[in-house]
Amino acid sequence: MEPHELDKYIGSKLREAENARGNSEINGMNRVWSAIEPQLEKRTFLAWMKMAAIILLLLMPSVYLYLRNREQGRQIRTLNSRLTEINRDYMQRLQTLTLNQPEKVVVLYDTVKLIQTIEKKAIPETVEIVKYVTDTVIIYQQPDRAGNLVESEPAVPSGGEINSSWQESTVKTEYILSKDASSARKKKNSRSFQISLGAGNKSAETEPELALKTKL
Amino acid sequence: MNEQLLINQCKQHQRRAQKQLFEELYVPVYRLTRRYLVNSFDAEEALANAFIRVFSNIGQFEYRGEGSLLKWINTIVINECIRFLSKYRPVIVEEDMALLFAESGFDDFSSDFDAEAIQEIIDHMPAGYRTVFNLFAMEGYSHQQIGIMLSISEGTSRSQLCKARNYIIEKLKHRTYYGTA
Repeated sequence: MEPHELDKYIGSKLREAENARGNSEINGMNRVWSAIEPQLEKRTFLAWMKMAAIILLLLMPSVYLYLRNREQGRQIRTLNSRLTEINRDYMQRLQTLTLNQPEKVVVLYDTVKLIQTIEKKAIPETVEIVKYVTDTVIIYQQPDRAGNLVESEPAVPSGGEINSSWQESTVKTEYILSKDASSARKKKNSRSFQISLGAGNKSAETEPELALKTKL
Repeated sequence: MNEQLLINQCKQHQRRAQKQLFEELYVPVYRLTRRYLVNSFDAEEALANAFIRVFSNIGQFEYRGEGSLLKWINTIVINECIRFLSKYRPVIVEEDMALLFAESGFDDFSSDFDAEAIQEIIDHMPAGYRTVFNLFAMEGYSHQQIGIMLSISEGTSRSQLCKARNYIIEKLKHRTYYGTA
């Protein structure tokens, strides 16, 4: 018998023996499947986890941007509320100041009003009061329609000094109320002079010195 | 169920299809495993590992007609058996020189041997002989392929096959003259 014939003979005998065993092999089938199934579950779970990790990785920048925007929005809201609070507080303080302004300030206010009235009468269409804030009155004087220069001559109450100035274009007059005239600000490239109010009130050294400062 | 449909469902990790495929192929695959691993518990363990590999890699399988799946699975199972043997039951290349030069002629097949007796001889054969014999005679692998699969030389594969054949013949002779292996 040739070797390959022996191989065939043995092969056929082995298959015969396997067939003779019949279904006895099936007994272990459930056992084998019960060993396979958990592993498959585990692998499926791992595959899902891997996929989830990839998705998370891809979503990370979007999530980061979303969270950053939300945080910034929250900060903006906080700052906004604080600003509103500060503004409200400021307005309250301002109101209180206006209500409790000293007598001198009232006098000054009346004076300024008087000045305004006089100036309005003098050049009604060229004077415009822009601002009044507690201790400062700013008056803008503009050239008249013909382009001529306008003279600004602020009115001063009795005892006060009179100063006037000429300017080529707009004249900005700023009246500042201060306790000490020397502390009055002087801006660059501007000529300024002061009008002292209450000069006639020599007896009151303790009284705050009122000054009117005019800038050009 | 259509085999291709079943494969597609297995590719989608459908548990029911996986179980059906397992049940349909269990018997032929188990028999294949038992040829390499005599111990039934070893065979079941290797089979479980092989099926896990099958279901994990079925996405790479290309259907090429009826029977192509079984062939693919058989390859995985054989590789798993070899892996199992090398891990837990190292395949010792038998160097029985007496068997190599033994008289291999055996023409006395007048008494047809019992299939169970042949199975018993194969089961008791050293693992190295049995593995090479199964790969060459039963699965049809060449000595070159066997050498690669078992990490042995082609010549070693040839000598192992020769010894396996002589071993079988010796046992058959013994059975013929004495009635037992």
